Amino acid sequence: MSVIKPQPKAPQSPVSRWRLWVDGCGGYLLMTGVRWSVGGLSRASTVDICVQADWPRLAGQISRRGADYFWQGQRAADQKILLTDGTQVPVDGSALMTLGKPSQLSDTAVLSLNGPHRFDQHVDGVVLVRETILVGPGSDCHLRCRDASDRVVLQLKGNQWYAKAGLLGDFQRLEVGSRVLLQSLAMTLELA
Amino acid sequence: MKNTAKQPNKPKLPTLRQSFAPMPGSAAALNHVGTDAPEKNTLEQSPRKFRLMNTLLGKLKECPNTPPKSVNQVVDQSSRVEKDFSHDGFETASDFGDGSVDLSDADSFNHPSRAEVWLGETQASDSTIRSMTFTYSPGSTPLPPYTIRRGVGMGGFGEVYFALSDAGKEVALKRIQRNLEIELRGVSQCLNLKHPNLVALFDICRDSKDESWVVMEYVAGLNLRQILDESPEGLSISEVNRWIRGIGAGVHHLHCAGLVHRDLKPGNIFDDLGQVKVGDYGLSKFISTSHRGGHTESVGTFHYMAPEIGRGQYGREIDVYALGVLLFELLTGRVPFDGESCHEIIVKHLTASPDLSGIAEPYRSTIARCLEKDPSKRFSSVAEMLASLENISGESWEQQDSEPTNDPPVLGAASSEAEPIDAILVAAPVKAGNTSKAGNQLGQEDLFDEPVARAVQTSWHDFRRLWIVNSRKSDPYGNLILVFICVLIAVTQFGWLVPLLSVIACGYVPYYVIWKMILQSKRQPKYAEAQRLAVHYAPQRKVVSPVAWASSVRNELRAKPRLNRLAELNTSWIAATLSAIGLAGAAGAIRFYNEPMPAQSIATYAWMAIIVLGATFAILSLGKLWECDDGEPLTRRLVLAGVGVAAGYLAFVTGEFLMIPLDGALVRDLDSTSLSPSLYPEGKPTVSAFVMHFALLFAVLRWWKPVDPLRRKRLSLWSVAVAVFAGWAVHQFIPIPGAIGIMVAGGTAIAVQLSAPWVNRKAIQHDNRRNQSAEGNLVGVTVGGSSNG
Repeated sequence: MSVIKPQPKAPQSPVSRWRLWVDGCGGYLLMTGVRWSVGGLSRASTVDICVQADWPRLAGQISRRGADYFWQGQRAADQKILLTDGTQVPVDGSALMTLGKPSQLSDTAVLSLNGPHRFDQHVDGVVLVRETILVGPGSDCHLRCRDASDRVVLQLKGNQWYAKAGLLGDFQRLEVGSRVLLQSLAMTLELA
Repeated sequence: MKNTAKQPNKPKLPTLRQSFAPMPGSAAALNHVGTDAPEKNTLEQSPRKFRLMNTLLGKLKECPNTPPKSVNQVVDQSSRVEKDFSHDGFETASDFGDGSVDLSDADSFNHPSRAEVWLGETQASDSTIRSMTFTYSPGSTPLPPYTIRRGVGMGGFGEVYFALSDAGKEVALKRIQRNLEIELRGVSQCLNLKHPNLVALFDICRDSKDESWVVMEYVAGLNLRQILDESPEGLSISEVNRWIRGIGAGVHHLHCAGLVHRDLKPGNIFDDLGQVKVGDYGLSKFISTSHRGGHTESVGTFHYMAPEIGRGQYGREIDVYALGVLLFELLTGRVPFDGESCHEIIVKHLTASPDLSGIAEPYRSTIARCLEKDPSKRFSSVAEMLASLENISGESWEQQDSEPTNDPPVLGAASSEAEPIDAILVAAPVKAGNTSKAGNQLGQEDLFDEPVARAVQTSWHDFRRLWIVNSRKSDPYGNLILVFICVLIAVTQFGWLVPLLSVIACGYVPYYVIWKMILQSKRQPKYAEAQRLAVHYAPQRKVVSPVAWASSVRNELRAKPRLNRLAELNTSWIAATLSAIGLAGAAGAIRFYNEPMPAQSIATYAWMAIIVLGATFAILSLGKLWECDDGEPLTRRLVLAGVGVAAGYLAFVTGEFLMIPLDGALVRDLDSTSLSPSLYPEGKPTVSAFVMHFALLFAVLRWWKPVDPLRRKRLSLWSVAVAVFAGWAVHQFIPIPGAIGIMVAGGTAIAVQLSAPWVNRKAIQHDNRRNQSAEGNLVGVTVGGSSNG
C-alpha cells in the first residue's frame, strides 16, 4: 500500500540566499524576498528556513507586508499573526524561534533560536533582508557582535552586497567567497 | 577594503597574554596538580603576609596608581603584572618543594629560557584593540576533514575557528601557535575528561605543515561575561542557582581528576544552548591576566584571583575562591573586590573583607567562606560549597551530573582514600561547616551576625585556642598566669568594672535592637519566602491598560488578511446603504408626519441620502485602510478634504439631476459676511461652493475616529453632535441650500458609526474574566474578536 504524502508548497516568491560568516560573531543566513516558508529538517526539505527540530516539514510561512512581518501557520485554522520585535513564532514543537527587529532604521528582521536548537546550514541566525543590515556591538544591530568596536552597514543593491564601516565613508562591494576586513570586523559572504 | 584571506601571521605586540575569553569555543587554562593535599600556609602568619604584600607591591611598581589613560596602557600594565606573578610563583614554588604545583609545571616555570620565551610571545588579543585577522579564511581546509567556516576568537595560544567536518559535525579548532609543548601536555591530560558541564576536547591533530590543532566541542551560546554585561544588577535567583550548579559540577569534576582550573572567570564559562559549560581549560599552564571580558577599562582575572596565587603555592582552593567571586557577581552583577588599578584590586584581595551586607543567606555565608584569605578556612571542596547552597535551591547539585558515567575514569577505588572529594561524592553531601568544626575552628555559620558579638565570640574562640595550645605544650604555668591575671583584675577592679560592664550592657541592648531593625529592613528575603510573598501579594488579575489593549488589537487588525478586510468593507457598505436610507426615511417621516409630502421634498431627502451614502462609503473605505495604525492626522485630513471635494461634486451633480432648487434657503444664523459673487453668482451656489463646503466639512473633523473599530462606543451621540455643529459652522461661511450640509454631517456621523466594525472591549473583558474564573486561572485580559453591524 502506498501512502501519498503531502508535498510542501514551494516558496511563492523568489528568494536569494547567502551565508555571511562574521569572525568572532557568528554565521548567518541572509535571505531576500517577502515570503519565506518555515519548517523542520527533513530528508527532502524544501523550506526556506529550516530548523533542526521536531517541527513539521512545512510549519508555516513568514511574510512581510510593508514594515510588518506576519506568521501564517500551515493549518487551516491558523490565523495570520503579526510578529513584532521579540515575538516568538508560534510553531508547535520544542524549538522556540524568535523574530527580532532591533533597528528602527531598517525593516530587516532576524530570526534566532533558543537552545538547544539550531538552524540548518550551521548558522546562528536567519536574516530576512530588507535592503540593509547593521552589524556591530549594539543591541540595535541585526548582527550583534558584542566584542566588536565598530559598526558596519551592509546594503543590498540589486543582487549585490555592499558594505561600509561606520556611518561615513563609501560603500564597498562585497565579493562572494572572499573575506573582507572592515575596521575590526572581518566577514565572508558566500552563496547558500 | 582589505582582503585578509590567507594572510601570514603578523608580529604581535609583546603586551598581554590573554586567552580570548569572550568567544565561545575558545580554550585555555587548567593546571595539573599532584594528588597530595597542598600545604596550607595561612595568612595568620603576619610577617609572611606583609612580606607577600611587599613583594607584590614591589613588583607592581611599574603599574601606576592612576587609572590608565589608554587601552594599550592597560594592556602593558597587565602584562607586567603577569610576568611578576609568574616569577614570584617560581620562586615560592621552589621554596615549597612539596607544594601543590605540579613538578612538570614547576619545571616549566623554573626554566628561565622557557619563561622568557613565553613572556616574549605574549600578545594582545583584545578585540576592542585590534581587528581579528585570522590566518585561515572560511572554506579553508588546513586540517582535513574539517572545513573552516569562520574565526571564533584568538587566545594566548593561538586562533580558534568554527569548523565543520565533512559529515557536518560542528567543532572548534584551536591552532596552537605558541607554547606548543606545554599546551599539548596540558591538553593530553584533559582529552578523556567527560562531563556535561565541561567543554569537551576531542583530539589533537597535526596538519600537513606539522602544525598542531586541538579539536574541541563547539559552544554556540554566549559566555557568562556577555550575559552579566546585559544584566548589570545580577541574575535572578533561579539563574544564579543554575549557573553556579553547572559551574560547580564542572569544576568539581576537574578537581576529581586532580586538576585545577586556575582561570575561572565569566569569560570562560558558557551557556551552550541551555547547558552551562566550563571552558578554557587544558591548554594553559599559566595564570592568565587577560582582560575581563574584553573590557579594557578593568584588569581582568585579578578580580577572580585568590590571594595565595601570588605565592605560587596553591591548590584547588583557588578555584573555590574564584567560585565565591563568581557567585557574588552572579547575585550582584559586580565583583567583590574592584579598584581603579591592579594595585588596589590585589591589595583588596589580600586584606579587605567583601561587603556582603546586601546578600541573603545562605549565599552570604557561602561567599564569605569562599573568600576567606586563608585557604584552609575555605570550603575544602566544591561539593561542600554547593551543598551549603542546597537548602535554598531545593535541589541537589548532584542532580546536575549524577550519572555514574560522569565519574572521572582516572580515579580508581584506591583514589577515594587519597582524594577526600571522592568520599564526598559517594557519600551524602557534607554540609558546610562540618570540616571546620572538626578542625576546632569556628564555622562561618556559627558566628554571630552582629559585629560586636562576633568580635567577642572570635576573641573568646582565640582565647580558647591559646588555652588549648598552652595545654598541649604542657606548659601549665602559662595558663596559671592567665588565670591569675584574670582573678587579680576581677578582684582589684571590681568596684568600677561591674558598673562599666553594666553601662556597656545597657548601651548594647538598644544598639542591638536598632541594628536588628535596620538589618531586617535591608535583608533580602530568602527565595522560598520571596516566592511565598510574591504569590501572596501577586495581583489577582493582570489589568491590561487601555493603551496596551488598543495596541494589541491594533496588531491583530494589522494581521488581518486582505480578503477578510474586503469582506468586512462590503458588509459595512451594505449596512451603510441601509443606514442612509433609514435615516432619510426617518427624517422625512418626522418632517412630514402630519403633512402631505410633496415630490420636491422627497427629492430633497433622496438627495441628502445619496450624499450621505457617498460620503459614508468613502469614509468607511478609508477607515478600513487606516484601522491598522493610529496614523498621521494631517495626512488624513488632507485625504478627507479630497473626499469632501468628491462629495461636493456629487452633491452639486445630483442636485442638478434631481432639479433641487439651489438658489434658495441660503439663510445663515450669523449673516455677518456677504456671499462671494464668484461662489454665489446671482445668489445661487456654484459647484465650487459645494466643493469648498464639503471639503471644509470633511477636513475639520477627524472622520477616522467614528469608523475606528477601537472607538469606545458603537454609536456616540457626542460625535454626531460635533459633526452637526461642524456642519453648522461651515454653513455660516459657505452656505449651501437648505442647510443640507448640516444634515449630511449628522447623517454621515450616524451612518458610519452604525456600519463600521466595533470591538467591544468591555464585553471581551467580561468574557475573559468569566472564562478565567471558570478555569480558576487568574490571568490577563486577552483580545477577542470584533462585532460588525
